[in-house]
Amino acid sequence: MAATLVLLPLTHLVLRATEGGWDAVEVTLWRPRTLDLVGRTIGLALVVTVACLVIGVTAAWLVVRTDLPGRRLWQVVLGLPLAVPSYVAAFAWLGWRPELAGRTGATVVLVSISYPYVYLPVLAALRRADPTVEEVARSLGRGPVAVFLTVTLRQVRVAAAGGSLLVGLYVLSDFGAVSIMRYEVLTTVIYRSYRASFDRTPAAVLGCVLVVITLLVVGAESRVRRGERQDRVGGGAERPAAPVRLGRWTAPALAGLVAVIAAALGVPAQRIVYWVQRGTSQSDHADVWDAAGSSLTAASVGALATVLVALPVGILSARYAGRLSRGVTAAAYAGHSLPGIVVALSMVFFGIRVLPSLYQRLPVLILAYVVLFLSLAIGAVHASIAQVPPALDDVARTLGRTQLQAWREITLRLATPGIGAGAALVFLVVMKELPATLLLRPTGMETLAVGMWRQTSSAQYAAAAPYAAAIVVLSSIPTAILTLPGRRR
Amino acid sequence: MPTRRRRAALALLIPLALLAPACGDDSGSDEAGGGDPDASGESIVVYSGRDLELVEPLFEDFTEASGIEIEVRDGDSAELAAQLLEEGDGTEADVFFSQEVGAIGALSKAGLMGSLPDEVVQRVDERFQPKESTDWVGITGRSRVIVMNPDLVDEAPTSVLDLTDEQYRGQVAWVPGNASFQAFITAFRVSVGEEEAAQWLEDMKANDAQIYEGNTEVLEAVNNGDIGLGLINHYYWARTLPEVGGPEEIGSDLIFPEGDDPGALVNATAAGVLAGAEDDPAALEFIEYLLSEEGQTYFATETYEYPLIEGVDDPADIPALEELEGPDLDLTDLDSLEETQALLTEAGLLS
Amino acid sequence: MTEVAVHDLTRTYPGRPPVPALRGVDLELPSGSLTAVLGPSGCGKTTLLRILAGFDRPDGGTVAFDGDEVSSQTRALPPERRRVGIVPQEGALFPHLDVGANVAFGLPRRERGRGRRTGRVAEVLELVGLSGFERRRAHELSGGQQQRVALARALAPHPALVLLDEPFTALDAGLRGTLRADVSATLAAAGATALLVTHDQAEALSMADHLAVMRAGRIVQSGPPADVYHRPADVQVATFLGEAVLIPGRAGAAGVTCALGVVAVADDSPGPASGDVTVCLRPEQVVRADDARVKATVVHTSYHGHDALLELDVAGQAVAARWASTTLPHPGEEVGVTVTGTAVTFAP
Repeated sequence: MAATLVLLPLTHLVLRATEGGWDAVEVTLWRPRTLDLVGRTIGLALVVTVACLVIGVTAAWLVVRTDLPGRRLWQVVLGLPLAVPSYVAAFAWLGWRPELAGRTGATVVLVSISYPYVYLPVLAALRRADPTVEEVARSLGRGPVAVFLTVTLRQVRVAAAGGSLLVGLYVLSDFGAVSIMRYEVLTTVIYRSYRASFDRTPAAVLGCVLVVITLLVVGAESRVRRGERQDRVGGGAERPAAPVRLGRWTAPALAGLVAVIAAALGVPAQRIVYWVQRGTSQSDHADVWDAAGSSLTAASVGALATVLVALPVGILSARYAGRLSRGVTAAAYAGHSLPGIVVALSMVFFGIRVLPSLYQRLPVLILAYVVLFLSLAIGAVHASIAQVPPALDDVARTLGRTQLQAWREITLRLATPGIGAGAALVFLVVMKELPATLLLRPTGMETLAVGMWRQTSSAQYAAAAPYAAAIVVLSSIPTAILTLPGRRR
Repeated sequence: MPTRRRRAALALLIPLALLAPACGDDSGSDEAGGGDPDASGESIVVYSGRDLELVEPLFEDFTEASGIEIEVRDGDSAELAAQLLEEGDGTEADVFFSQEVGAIGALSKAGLMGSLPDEVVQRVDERFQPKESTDWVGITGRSRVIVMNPDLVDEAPTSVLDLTDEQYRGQVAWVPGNASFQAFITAFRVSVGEEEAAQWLEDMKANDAQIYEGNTEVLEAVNNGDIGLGLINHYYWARTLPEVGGPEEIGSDLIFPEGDDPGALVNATAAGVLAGAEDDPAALEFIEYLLSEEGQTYFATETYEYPLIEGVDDPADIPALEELEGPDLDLTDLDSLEETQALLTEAGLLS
Repeated sequence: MTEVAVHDLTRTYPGRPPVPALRGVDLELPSGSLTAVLGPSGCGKTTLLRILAGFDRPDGGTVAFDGDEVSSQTRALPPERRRVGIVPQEGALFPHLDVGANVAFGLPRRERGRGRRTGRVAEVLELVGLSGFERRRAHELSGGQQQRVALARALAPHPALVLLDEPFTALDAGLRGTLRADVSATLAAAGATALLVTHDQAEALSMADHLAVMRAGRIVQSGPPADVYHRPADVQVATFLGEAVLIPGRAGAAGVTCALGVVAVADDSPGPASGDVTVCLRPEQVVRADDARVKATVVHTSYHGHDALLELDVAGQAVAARWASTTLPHPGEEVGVTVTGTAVTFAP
């Protein structure tokens, strides 16, 4: 079922791309502009990913492995920017520093809101990693920085690679930041094509190009991941690492983190306050509450459904890596990298034909969320299941449990915190999702993102501010859960 | 450690706790979908490309006056048109109320719109009727304007043709992806000529015109003094006045180009019934209400658009509709959007 | 107490080329005994264990518990119905459960409740020397303690067969020694039939009642540990089980003539009764006898505390000897040596 779902948008895309005939495809494909756009898109994704890697890994190391003042608080605060929708951040930055429009602005906004994709898994990996290895390296005469670069980085490699993949895919699919910052990449052009022309071929062809880029990126990431399994050797008791003393580096480290948070949270917050103070337009509080209710509903049901669909795929890929699970995973990543409107229109197409009675009802909207965000949930399920040693299941079976009972009592039970974190992540992104929600929501249902879109599209910034604030505040709850320490192995 | 377990439970519990109201919602909408609202004639589904906040009070007035409930789905006009194209005959929509003629024209071409009675279409000025069908009718008029920040521009342009002048280098904001802009380019092509339009686009690009994502952003940039000039529709400016506290505070002026300048195009919002609702009296009643005196007055005073029927006053603070000339063309000529797209693509402004 | 019979078991993993893991394994586990399967990694011993546990199914052959067939090509009793206890490498304790709950995991539901489980749980915890550890968590235990808990967990439901999968490899040497003794004592006390799979010959020799040496998917020799040690079936088994003296000799009616003189040959020695042979002795059979006719030059000594391993040169042949460390000759010194016990001969 998962396979069918994730293939829907791809099928639709190919259908639309080729409906104008092969010639039309070639015209779009071999345009010099297309190559230029591919270059810009990949370039932006690369720059943002590298910056997120540096910030995410450094921040995680600072808050887990050093004596940084207030590191417990920092651990949570540094995850919060994930709660800020890219369009809110971009609006805020553009209002504050209009001269940043273009590549710089798009990069700043995307880095400031997506570095937590790297920070969170690395944070978890560092908490899990064996500090002994680092101590051995120190005893062999390496300084703290050298140890960080050689030993620590190796330990978090898989987590960082997984996080970078999410950042890369997010950048490929993001529309808010690039459009507001007026930096043209594949998504902006795809959107514009859908909006301005009723000839869907060019948009669909570019969508296919985006899918190809995604599959290449996913392939590269799985190469990093391959054969990599970090088990703690030996059965001795685990103990926390002795923190690295920052000494005179404390102030610069703190300043760096403050700068990151100021960019990611301070600017949007300041702008929201500014809008409220300046404008005269007002939003009805009851409307905002209603919208918050709808958002919570959509996000919770979406998260739950996505995780349920991801469970079998993640289990299969973690335990019995095979062609099917690899295919579904790759297709899910492709779904994640497609702009929301592409997925939304494919769900319109199939929804009204296959499930006419559910079309523009909650179920089809939820299905769209599943397609869009399945890869996030598969990643979480896969990672948390892979961490449970299969020997535990074997033992449970010899102790009288059937395969299913063993799964339920041991593997799933142990993977629950990780899977829950996956659900929280999906909850968060559904909360911010706009294009699919706009097209597929039940008539009359208004989420926070829709409310905010409605107000900003008619320049009612003051009225939009409460919606933006509500999105950020509500998304902060699952984000904070994501930063809490999980099970110690 | 119990805290660990509690945390895990918490992570799962939040979505679970919220599932209950979700299920409730779900069954509720199923119920709504169970009966066919068209059959009773008491409810219609409107796909509205108009800003909901602005048109909702009007829709409510209609319900009060007629007893017909409206289910509104709002969105971007072109996105709704794309959605209607994907939905095909299966659509639940009865009425499409579009921000511009192009989107509804595309649906008309695809055979998805039903005909309106001649008598209804003829209530509006001939400029705002379709030429070869009665698939839609213009509801309100919207003029293209040049918005200018007088602090940044020494000499005000009088025509869009002036904007390629060296003195405006890097000072013009435009939105090539915007439907109204594309309608303006189409008007340029049709009224001035294909080659001239292409040349103008090239010259604008050479003059370093700045691409913006939307008219709102253009207006804000001009008001803030980020850029001197912008190509937008008149009502963006008019409706922002109360936001900022009046014409003295907004920081920009409007220029309505004169004569047959393509930059003086007056386009229309338009509405029509979908093919499946052609015989639904409720859908037609809604269209007629939009063209009634109450409806037209509402647009003039609330959305600052031009009313299209006789006997309703134009909005304040801007020139009257009769004074606006605009290029010599029929609005139906604006449906050659694909050629405009091709032109913009060739110029590297669109893909 | 259960008797386990493994007959002509084969298992080949699909692939290109297919990987044969078991090529016809026969093995008897007498009731209440501890049998060790010893072999280098990749010899198929883990596959054997997984088939016995029911995780894997053979391509051919059978496994029977007390005469009831549990595994064959067509039939495999699922693991949960075999009454097999398993002690994996590194214990694999359930990290979300405390020690008591781990041990109680395999008990019938009515015995599992916190109040009621005390009986059997306390009993097996006492058996492994961890009384009072019920409320501890896995990560609060040392490696050795974790293994004891794993053993207690396996023993709690009175299994028909206990499988130990290299259970001590992750532990340090000192701990290993005591734990081995404790585990074999515990298993004996529980009266369980047990199979230990290991690549550590010291572990196999010290713990098992019965030893089976496995190589390339076959059992190459089995018997009591002392028999296998002193009468290895071939050169590889001889060297795999410990230090061996291997020198050329000539077999005759009186015994075998070699650099160490004429040595008596064991009755069932696999070598030919006459002609050239390879003579196989254990270093501890080469003893010092200053008045002996055979002289050896000490080349090297490695001191092990309680004893020492010497490298001797006897008429140009390298011979290893294990002597008590009380009076050791210095390198270069000439000493007299003689052989006690019988030698094993192989075809040269």
